[in-house]
Amino acid sequence: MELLQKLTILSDAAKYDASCTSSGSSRSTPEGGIGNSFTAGLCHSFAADGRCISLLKVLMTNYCVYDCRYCINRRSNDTPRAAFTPRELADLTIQFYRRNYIEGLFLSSGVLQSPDYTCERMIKTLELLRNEYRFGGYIHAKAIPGADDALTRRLGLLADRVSVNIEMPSSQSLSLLCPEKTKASILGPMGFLRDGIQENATQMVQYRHAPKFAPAGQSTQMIIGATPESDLKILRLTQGLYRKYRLKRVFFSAYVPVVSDALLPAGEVKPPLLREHRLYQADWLLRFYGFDAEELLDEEHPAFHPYVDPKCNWALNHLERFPVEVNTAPYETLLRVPGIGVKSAQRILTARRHSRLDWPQLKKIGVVLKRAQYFLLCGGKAPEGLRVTQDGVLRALISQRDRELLAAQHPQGEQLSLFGPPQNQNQPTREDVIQCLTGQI
Amino acid sequence: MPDRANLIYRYDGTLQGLLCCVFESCRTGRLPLDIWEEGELSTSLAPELTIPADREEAARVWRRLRQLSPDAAHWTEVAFLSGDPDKAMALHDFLWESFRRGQSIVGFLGDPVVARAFQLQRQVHNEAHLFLEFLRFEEHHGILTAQIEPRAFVLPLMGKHFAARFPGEAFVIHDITHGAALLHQHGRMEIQPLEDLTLDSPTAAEAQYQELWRRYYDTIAIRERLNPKCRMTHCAKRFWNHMLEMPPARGDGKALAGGFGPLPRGEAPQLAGALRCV
Repeated sequence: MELLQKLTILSDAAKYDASCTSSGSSRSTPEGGIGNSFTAGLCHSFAADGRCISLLKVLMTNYCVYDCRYCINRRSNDTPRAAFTPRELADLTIQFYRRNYIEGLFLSSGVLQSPDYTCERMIKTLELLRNEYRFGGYIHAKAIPGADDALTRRLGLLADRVSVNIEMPSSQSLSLLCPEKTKASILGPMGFLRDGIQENATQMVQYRHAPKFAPAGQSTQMIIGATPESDLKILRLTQGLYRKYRLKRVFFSAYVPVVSDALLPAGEVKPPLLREHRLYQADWLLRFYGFDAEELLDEEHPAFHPYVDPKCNWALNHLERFPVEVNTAPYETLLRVPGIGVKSAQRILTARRHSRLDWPQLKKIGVVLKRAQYFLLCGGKAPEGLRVTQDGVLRALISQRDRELLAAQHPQGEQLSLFGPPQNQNQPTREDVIQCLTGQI
Repeated sequence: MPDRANLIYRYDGTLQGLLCCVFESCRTGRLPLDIWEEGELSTSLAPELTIPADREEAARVWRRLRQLSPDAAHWTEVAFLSGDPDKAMALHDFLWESFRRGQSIVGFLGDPVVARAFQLQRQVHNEAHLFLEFLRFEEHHGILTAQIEPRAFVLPLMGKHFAARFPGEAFVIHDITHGAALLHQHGRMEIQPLEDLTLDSPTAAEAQYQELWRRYYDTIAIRERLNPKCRMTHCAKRFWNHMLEMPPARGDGKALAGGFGPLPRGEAPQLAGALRCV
């Protein structure tokens, strides 16, 4: 089979893996070799669906002995099959890398013959890259559930990041849709990798030349929207994975119907992209903003607000904590203000060491005042003419587009009452706020 | 800051020239209205003063700046690479403010003058970073060649990255906008003026790798998630000209459909490539 055709089949089969990062590892170019990797990672291109292309993401082979219901490569699916030889793939990676197309290789595989055999073929490819081509670029390898621990260990020593897909957000869904996989078969390698990475961290301190074991850590991925789990459940699971298994990233993949099955949502469902987006927003809040899953969602509100992001939603439900004084609030508090991110919070810390901040200065620093103004005081002052209530702020923060969406979904107007209390008179609408700020009121 | 004098400085367009402008305004204690490059068209009735570049004066200003704050000096170096027509005046004010306060001012991020200098250097750094990502090499006679059209003169910020990554390769990065090229071979690197670079059409082997890359790019997108706007946010169309996998930039909006994922299975190998230019 021609290389072009193989690449088409095997990248097509790999594209539903959401992970694209090349970050977390810092390697210098080996002596006489090619390639290094950066802690921050680089994105070399963006596909037509807006996702970044950082690595050459392919399967070693799409032959598979398993029959997972949602998977495009399942045994019973009638699809063209192909397999790379280790040499072919190593060569292609180097040639792409030289031309600055990619940052490295993302290697996964269907299970050919047995997990051990599959894993060995992957190891062969990575050994060619690392030892023969002396390749210092990024390699992300999928651990194959069921493979021998010794093989997984060799994989970890060659790759920068290793991952095991958790596939489904609960073990019930997993046993329903992936009859051959069990919770234990997934969490087993995950625990093994965690221990390997931790042990390696100790060795690195003790011996300068200790070989690195998965220096960029491990990640995982789950499919969103194919099964009935709530956002709360998914977020709790995510938090558990970060804390218990020390994962670097958890990826969410909105379910795209690639194969039809009686157990899956039927036919033309759209991938739940907004839900995926909200989960990623919450994921960032867990990792960089010091939030707990329980703060963002609870049993009474198990799903994310469709119109405002999780951080805004949290702030609106905790108006008693706001406003905070920008000149004195600690970093952790600043991070919780909508409209302030990690970078602008750090810039605020730097800037306020030198001078007292006022509103125009805050704008210069890069704080999104449109959001932040409701939650901040500058030198004890709120922006002039701003009154804050939960309802009014919510309405002002929802974007115009979302409001039209809201109106389209709930076309019935509000019932007017002749004698009811005048409810909305004291609450600023979005228009009021704009008029205040432009000095019209 | 004191009032501005009714005077416009002309400088030679180099960092050294700009430092001499700062020397002049510090010496007289009066700020110019604006600073223009030599040869730039005059658009004001204010009198002009040509400031000759003087190595000695420039070195004095530079030494003092480094002494006050190495960070501020670094910002100045980087921001000066910007293509912004306003950069000379912005940096002049930034240095002036540094000297007036007599301390490092890079922390005063809320100050309009500092914020402007910060913004300039950040834009340059960001653009250089994007070209590290989006630049594409093509092999000609064993030499990797790339062409870019940046707004800022980013070549000085790009060499280190590629030299570290490809120590054994000979490569050329041609900056079309500024008529310069970065050359690297045998661990030596330099930037030289180069107006025009005409390349042969790629060899068969090169064309095959390009074809493979295009095919990979087209295949990896998920058609149910097509999102042209998101792609443009991350990778603006001004980069597309020199990225071989991107659909040819066209004004009619049809280009958005190009570079789209594969067709239903079975047809994919034959048609996905043809779909690119639809």
